[in-house]
Amino acid sequence: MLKGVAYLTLACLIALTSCQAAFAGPAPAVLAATVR
Amino acid sequence: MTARRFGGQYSPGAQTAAPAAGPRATPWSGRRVRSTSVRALGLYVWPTLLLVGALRALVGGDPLIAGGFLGAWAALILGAGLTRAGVVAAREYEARAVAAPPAFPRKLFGAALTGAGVAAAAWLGTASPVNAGLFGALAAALHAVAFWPDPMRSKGLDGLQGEALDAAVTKIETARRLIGEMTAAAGRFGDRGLAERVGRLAAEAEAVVAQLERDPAGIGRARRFLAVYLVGARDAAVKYAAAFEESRDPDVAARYGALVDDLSAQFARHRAALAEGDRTALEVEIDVLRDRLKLEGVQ
Repeated sequence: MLKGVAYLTLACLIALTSCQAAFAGPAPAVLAATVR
Repeated sequence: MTARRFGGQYSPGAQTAAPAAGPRATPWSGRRVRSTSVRALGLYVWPTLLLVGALRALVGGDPLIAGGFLGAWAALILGAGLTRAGVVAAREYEARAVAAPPAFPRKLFGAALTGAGVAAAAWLGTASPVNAGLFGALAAALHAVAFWPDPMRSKGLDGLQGEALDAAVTKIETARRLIGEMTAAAGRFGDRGLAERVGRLAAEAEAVVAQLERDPAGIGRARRFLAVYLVGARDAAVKYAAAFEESRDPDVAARYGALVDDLSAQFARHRAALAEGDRTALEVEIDVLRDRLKLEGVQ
């Protein structure tokens, strides 16, 4: 049960962070600024 | 790969003798665990949108960001691969009464790579290193709970430690490998009846190995069984299969079948002697077998 919940949460986390990065990520200039 | 003749109990030329007593042969006798986890396979699918992100960044003329997306995707895919291999290794470990831990903790490295991939994706999505760190740590922790860390300790063989334990585990693993190779070689005859008889032999040998796992004190006594019986049975199977493939002579298959029947009977007697701890009977059995294998030109 615990393993199942952890797996579903992990799957959602990977899919949602991927989705946000692909479609709603900040402009490249903003990203570059965080590195400097 | 050779064609396999279909046949069964009621087919022409089927063996009508009553099935031998002892452990039942199953189609899985002597075969290794090979399974996969749907959950681990899912890990390959969830990061797919990162590829879309890489494509969008490339189209937008930003190859560095595209590289970031591809790096995050690669970390997640590599993590998925390690996790999948770790799940298979852990299942093999669980399936055995005696086992050494996997040499490389694949699931833990899979968790670390998954955390790194999610952190990179979160950074690409939020431009916040704090968010990236938090999401990455959360992903690694969730991975560790969902797939559980790799087994880290040897199990079975109470009272044995260090080199003695390693030696016992190696002997048992070698025995299983020899049984698997014998079954695989017998499959090359393309004869269902013969494959079933070899399956019974493999089941007998498996039963002896399982008995050794339960009673590790017998490993010393069974040393010659492992060295003579199993190596001989494997060599005979390989030799006859090669001769059969070359000549397609049914006489070769028949001679191998007779040897398999002899070996089966001796395996069963050996098992009984091993259970009773009768060292003299064991020695006699092994000498008889060695002579039989010499006759076949195997040893």
